[in-house]
Amino acid sequence: MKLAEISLRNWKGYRKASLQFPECSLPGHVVLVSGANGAGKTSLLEAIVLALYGRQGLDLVGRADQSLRPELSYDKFLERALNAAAQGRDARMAVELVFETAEGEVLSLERVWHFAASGKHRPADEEIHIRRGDELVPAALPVGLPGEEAWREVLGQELLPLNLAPFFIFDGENLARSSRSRLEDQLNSASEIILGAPELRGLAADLRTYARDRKKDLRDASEVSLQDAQDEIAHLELEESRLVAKADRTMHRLGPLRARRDALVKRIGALHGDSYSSFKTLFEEREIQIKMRSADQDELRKALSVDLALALSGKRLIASSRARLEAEALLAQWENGQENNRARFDAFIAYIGDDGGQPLDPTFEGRLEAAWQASWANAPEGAATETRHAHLGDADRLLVLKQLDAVSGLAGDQVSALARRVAELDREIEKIELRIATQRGLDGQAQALADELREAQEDLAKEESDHRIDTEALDAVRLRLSPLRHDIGLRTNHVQAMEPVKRRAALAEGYASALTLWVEEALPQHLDDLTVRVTDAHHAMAHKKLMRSIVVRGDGIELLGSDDRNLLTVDFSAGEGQVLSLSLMAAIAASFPCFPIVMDTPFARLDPEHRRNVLQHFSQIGVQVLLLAHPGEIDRALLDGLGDRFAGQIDVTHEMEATGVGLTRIGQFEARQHGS
Amino acid sequence: MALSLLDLVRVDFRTSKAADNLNTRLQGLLNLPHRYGPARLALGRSMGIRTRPELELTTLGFGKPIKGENLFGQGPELATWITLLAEHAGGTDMSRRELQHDVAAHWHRGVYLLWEDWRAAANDFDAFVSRMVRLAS
Repeated sequence: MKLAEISLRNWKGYRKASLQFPECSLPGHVVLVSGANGAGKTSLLEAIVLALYGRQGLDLVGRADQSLRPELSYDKFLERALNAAAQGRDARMAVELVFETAEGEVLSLERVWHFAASGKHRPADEEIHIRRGDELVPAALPVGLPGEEAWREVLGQELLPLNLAPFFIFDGENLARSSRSRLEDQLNSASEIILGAPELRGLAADLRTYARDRKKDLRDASEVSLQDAQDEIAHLELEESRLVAKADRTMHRLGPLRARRDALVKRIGALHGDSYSSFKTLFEEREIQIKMRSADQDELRKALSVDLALALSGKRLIASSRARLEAEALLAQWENGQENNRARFDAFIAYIGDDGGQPLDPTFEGRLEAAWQASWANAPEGAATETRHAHLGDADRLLVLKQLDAVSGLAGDQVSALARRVAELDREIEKIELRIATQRGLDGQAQALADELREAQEDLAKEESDHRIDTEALDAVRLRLSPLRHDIGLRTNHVQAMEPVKRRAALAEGYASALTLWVEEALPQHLDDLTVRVTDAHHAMAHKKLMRSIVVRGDGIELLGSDDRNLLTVDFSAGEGQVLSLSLMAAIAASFPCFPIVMDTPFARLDPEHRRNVLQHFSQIGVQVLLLAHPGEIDRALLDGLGDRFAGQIDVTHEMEATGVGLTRIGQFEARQHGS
Repeated sequence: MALSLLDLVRVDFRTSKAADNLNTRLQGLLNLPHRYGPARLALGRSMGIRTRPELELTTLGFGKPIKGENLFGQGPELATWITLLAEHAGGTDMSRRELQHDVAAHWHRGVYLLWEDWRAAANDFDAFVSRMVRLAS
């Protein structure tokens, strides 16, 4: 990234000025902006900083009053920066920086400040503009961010994030801000920025959030409830298998039992030839009676579980429940009536009001209301005073009363009737057996066969009854299974449909872990890389070779002497300290050549050899270097020593106009004279 | 908060472990197809006694749970059981917890009474039924 032009309007001594930097094919080249003290060199550095970072950049501006609160300090600095000729009226002050990317694209950043006639800065009116292309077309800012944040996003991604700025902008008149210790503090975060670690961590966090949300959706939507349904189905299927097996076993027993019965009937028939038909009828009749008894017994068992169970609670409890429900029904009716009565009274008063007559006297209306309400003041006799059965609505109450009636009246009778019928059927069966026994006398063989047949028929009836019960239970299980299977089908489809989401969540988690791992592993490697670069830079620039290595760690640096002694406690001269700071700058700039290096009065404390070394080293980093220096700081021979890497110089001068207002002028760019 | 019949359908009810075991034995002896058969008989049998049963379940251990819709049925049947239980308990504003506790206690007391009834009927189904009918009359 190369700075192609700086345009200034009403900025300090520059009323309307433009510095156009030369086109240079070399990525690393030096441009000198030369001027005497007070000519406006530092104003250029301040213009660059504040145009880029606005209020956030104040910390990098040496002449800002840091004793004030930042916003006040910013306002005061800008109010002082407004060109004297623009004061006394509404005015605007602007700085535009035009950059050219390595790919030849043009990017312009402009910041405009507004002032009232009183000279007061109007912070709310501050404008920022980004333009792109040869035509400098206004560019869209990143969506969803407020202006200043969107601006910082562009700076962070395309130019120079604020945290890296101290490594590219050197203010020799404000060494405290470019001191080694300050740069050391910022090395770790600079390293993270160079690696894009904050963005990568943010991305990893976003991916984890995505994975967590998707997993939560999956858990909520399907897996837990699916598991519940599957468990229930498994349980019911087990029950179904058990019942099917039992029914099958019963059916297997029924076959031989029926065959045995038929064989017995046949044998009895053979014994009594001519009366076989009569015998057969008797046996069939007995079988019918046994079946009927068995069915009634089943009915009886059902009644036991329903009506008789309720009836067992006793007549007293049933009667008191009935009475209570009736009393509560009266209470509910009365309460409903009260509400209706109030509504009728309101309608009555409204009717009188609509009649066009005089409004009612409030006292009279009060008496009328009291009389009206008194007509519904007391609950009817027999109404409950409080509600015990609040679980019942009006309709439920009626249904329960009906059920209680049925239980108290019929249940006992019904069960008794069933029990009587069972007993009667028992007697009937006994009678038939007696007839069978007496039809041919008490023939021993016939009697034995009859007994055997009776036994077989009873066994058969019992098995058939068991089979009926099992079949009913099986039907009930299947009735429950059917909707559950349908439901689980839907849920399974849903879970299958969610499979891609599940895979994406797993992928997101994998990427997040990989990113985190990468950052964790890359950061120490980058610090090792910086160690090499800082050491090389220092070796190239410092003429005393005291340092064997400058080790960059996450929390600062270690200066190791030739004997591995830590030299941090050594008192370096001001110039040596500055060379160390410049080494850190050079290392970062070389590691992340994203922006020109701007140096204001960098050589004032350096001896000639250090000056030469510094200039040589920075010119070789591969980024544009803007040197803001007074003529005494750099002699011509130093610049000529750079060869083609010195592009040329621009002079700035300051003079007083007749009106007494100072004016800074910018001279023409003077390209380096080759061979001079 | 008043009891809601709609909620009670899905509420779990249970009694003591020992009573639940006896419930299973009676189910087999009476040849009743469902677990709720003897349980309902037990509830009715216990509610036929005026005093409210007491039971400290935590020291006795819990039996298997049964859903309200199975224990009491649905619709009018469920409403009738809850009405009888609330009436037997007396007072107003019976909570779901109180109801569950009362059911556990009635079930426990009732199933032991049924067991005595079965023995009194000399383990004979018809005699047992006759005894139940007499008690209900």
